[in-house]
Amino acid sequence: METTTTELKGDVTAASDDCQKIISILEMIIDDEATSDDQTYFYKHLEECANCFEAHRHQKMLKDFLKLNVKRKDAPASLISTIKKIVQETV
Amino acid sequence: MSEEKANKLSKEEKDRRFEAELMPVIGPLYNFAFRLTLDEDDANDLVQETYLKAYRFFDYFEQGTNAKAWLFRILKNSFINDFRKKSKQPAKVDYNEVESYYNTEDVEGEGEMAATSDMRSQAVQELIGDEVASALNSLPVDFRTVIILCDLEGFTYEEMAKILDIPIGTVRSRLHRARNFLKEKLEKYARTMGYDADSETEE
Repeated sequence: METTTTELKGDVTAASDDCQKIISILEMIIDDEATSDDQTYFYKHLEECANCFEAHRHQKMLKDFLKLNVKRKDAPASLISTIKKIVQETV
Repeated sequence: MSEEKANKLSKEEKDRRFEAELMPVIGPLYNFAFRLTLDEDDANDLVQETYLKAYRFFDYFEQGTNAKAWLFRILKNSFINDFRKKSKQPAKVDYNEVESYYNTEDVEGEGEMAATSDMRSQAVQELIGDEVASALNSLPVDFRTVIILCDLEGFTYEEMAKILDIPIGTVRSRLHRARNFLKEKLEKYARTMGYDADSETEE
C-alpha cells in the first residue's frame, strides 16, 4: 500500500490529499502545461508545505539540468548540402 | 483538374519555400535522429529520408504551421517503420516489460539528485556533458524520446501526442517514468563523481 512507503519515508504530511494533488500536477507545472487555477493552487500550497516545496525543487532541477547538460549533436554540413542537392534534382 | 493545378507550386517556388521553412529545423532534427539511432551514419540516413519524404508531401504542408513538429513526426515514423528493423543497434529492451517494471516504483519517491552549486560551474558542466548523454542514451528509446521532445526541444504535450501518435495521458505517464528512470541514473552518477550534496556513506 502507498501509505506504507509514506510511513517509511517518515513524512506524514505527504499523505494529505493536498499533497497527493500537488504531486499529480507537479510535472505539468514544470512543463508549463498546468491551468492558471492549478498554478495558483500549486504555488500557494508550496508556501506552506516543505515536502512539496522540495519535490518541486528537485523536479525542476532535473529538467534544467538536462536542458543545460545534454549536448546537442550538430548536423554535418555535408548532410545539409546533400539534401539541398537531392531536392533540387527531384522533379 | 485546373483546381489541382492551382494548388501546385512551381518547382522553383516549392524549392525556395522548402528551404526557407524546413531547412532551419535540421539542427534539432539531426540531434533527435542521433538520439534515436545513437549512430552518426544512421542519423544521417534518417534525416535525409525525412527531408525527402517532406519534399514529396510538401504540397500538403500548410505554410506557417508547425514545421518542426511536422518534420519530427515524419522522422519518428520513418524510424519506427523502416529504420528500427535494419538498425545496427543491439536488441532493444522490451518496452512493455520496462514500463511495467518502472510502473511499480513509488511515484513519489523523488530521487535526490545531487544539488550543489558545483553543478552549475562551467568546468563541471563540460565534464558531465558526456555522462549525462550516456545516461540518457541508456534509457529505452521510448523514454529517451519524450525527454528529448519535452525537455530539450520544448514541445507541448499536445505536440508530442501528435508527433508520437499517442494520447496526452500516455505522454504524461511516459514522461514521468522516463524522469524517474533518469533521476536514478543521475543520482548514481552524481554519487560516483563525488558531487553528492550530502555524501552519505550508506550502501
